[in-house]
Amino acid sequence: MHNLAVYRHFSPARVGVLARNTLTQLVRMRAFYFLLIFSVIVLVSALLIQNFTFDPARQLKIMKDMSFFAMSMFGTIFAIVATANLIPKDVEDRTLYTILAKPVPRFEYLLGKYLGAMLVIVLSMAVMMLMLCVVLYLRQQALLTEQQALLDAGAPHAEEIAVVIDELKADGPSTSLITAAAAICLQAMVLGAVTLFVSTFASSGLFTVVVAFMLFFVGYIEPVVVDYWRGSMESLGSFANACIHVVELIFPNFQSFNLVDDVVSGKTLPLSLFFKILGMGLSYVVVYLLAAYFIFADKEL
Amino acid sequence: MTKARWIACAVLVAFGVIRIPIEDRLAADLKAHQFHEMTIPDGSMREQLGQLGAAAALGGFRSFLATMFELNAIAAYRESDYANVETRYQLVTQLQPSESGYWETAAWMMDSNARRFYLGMDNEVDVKAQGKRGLLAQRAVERGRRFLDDGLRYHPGDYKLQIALGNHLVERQRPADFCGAAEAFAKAIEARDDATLPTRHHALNLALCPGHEREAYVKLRAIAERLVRGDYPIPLDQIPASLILHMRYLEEYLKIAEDDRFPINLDVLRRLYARLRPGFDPATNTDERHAHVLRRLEDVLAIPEGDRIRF
Repeated sequence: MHNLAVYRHFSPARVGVLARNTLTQLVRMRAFYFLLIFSVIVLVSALLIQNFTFDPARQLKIMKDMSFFAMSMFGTIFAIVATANLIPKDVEDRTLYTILAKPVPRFEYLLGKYLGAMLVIVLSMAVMMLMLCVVLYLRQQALLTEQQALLDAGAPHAEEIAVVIDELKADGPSTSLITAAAAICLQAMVLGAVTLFVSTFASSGLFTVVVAFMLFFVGYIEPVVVDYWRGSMESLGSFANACIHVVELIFPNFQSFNLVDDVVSGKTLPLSLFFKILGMGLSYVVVYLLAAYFIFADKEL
Repeated sequence: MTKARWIACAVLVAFGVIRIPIEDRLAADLKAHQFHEMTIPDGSMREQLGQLGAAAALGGFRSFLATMFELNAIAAYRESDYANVETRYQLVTQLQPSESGYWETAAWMMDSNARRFYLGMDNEVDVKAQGKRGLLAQRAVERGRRFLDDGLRYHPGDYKLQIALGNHLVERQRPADFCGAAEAFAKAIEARDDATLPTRHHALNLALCPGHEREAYVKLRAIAERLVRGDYPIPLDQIPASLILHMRYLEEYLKIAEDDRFPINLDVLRRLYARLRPGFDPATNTDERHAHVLRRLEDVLAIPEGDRIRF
């Protein structure tokens, strides 16, 4: 017979088993099929869109835009839908009772489930990023070869071609793109934690999905709107000011993780700043998982 | 509400109190690195984007939306629907003003393509319509200029935008602003190390800018010297004719002593004059630079008064 005291301590191994199990469960639900759609998007943007633009460097931008859009959509939708169904599905399948009947602390159960879902997102993002970098690199090299051939053939406006070559060289795969992808991943992780928190007190999976989407939407536009309102604080009055502070206090700020727009247009984020964003994201995850635990621990199952 | 729920709420509120100042600092840091320079879409932009598009613009899909609207603009351009090209590019540049290429393409679409399209509709004899076309072309040029000016407000030192402005001031603006063009090309030179093209354009436009004759001469001569004595020297008669023309004109204007003048083969200029003169009609000419070149050619080649073009 096992010593029950052993199970009172936090066990990364137990969390790992739960995470692996959740990962398998999601893989069986064909979550990775999205990668096929993504590869189609990347290839279409690489092969077909070139006929729609005059600027060779813009072709690479279009590829990046479409790919990051697909990654953001996948990250957001998956983080909400998959996490929202983690607990309801286990309740429906009665797996939750089997697991909790064993000496598994509820926090470990929540953490394991959350990490399993996030593992799917991280793996998918890594594969998508790899695909994007490979296709982007191949397209960049093809365009560079084209431009170099024009230069070698003594085409007029050699200097303009040299400018295009410089732009193409700057628009290939870079560490900035990786930071943008990491920020999308981080955003999905925060959103997953928020959704898990909502699902601990939600009456249904649908309710969780709707509320999580609302929180995400408000969390995204709230910082921009608050920034705008702050410019006219005096005219708003103290009641409106108080309302703004309450909104700021309650809703998570997703705007901090929005780096894609600026990275795609060629800006580079200093690593120190990226680590600040990373720290912020991980704090959100810890706090929301903790809040989720307080409610889940008290839940009658 | 149960105790656990109160605790959860308290944790979230406490976290909110701690994180807001940190997030404010983070937002300021990001802005200091030119990140998150977005604004709330204004009324007309919201109308064009639609509520969903405006939300998407705020929700981190600005770059993607700009790309989609640019593809839309290019589709409109293929159908010569320049009204739509203009509105689409207006949106594109508002969505992503940090992308200098959008401003340049928008300006080129309007001041070159749209202008040519409106002026090219000359298969009708209706005088009113002709007049309207002229107005439309003029408006397209003004719109192109506005795109350039707005773009340069965001990217004052951008190489391509400065070159586009320099070309616009000479080729589209009436009367042409050679001094302004020279200044724009000078800014383009500052933006790039090996800016041979703007260096030449800067000197050539300076040669047509009153009060800058000596400075222009020094710069033109330096370019010519570099061409014949640089790393890849070219023969004297292969120096671009425009360079030779303005140099010789300025040598006479500045009364440079014969011995100090740059060795020039006047046959190159004679050939240029013979090529340009027949097709030139001062009544229909719209290229001021062309007229200046012919005027100077006549001065340098000492064409008799009776044979000269009557400008």
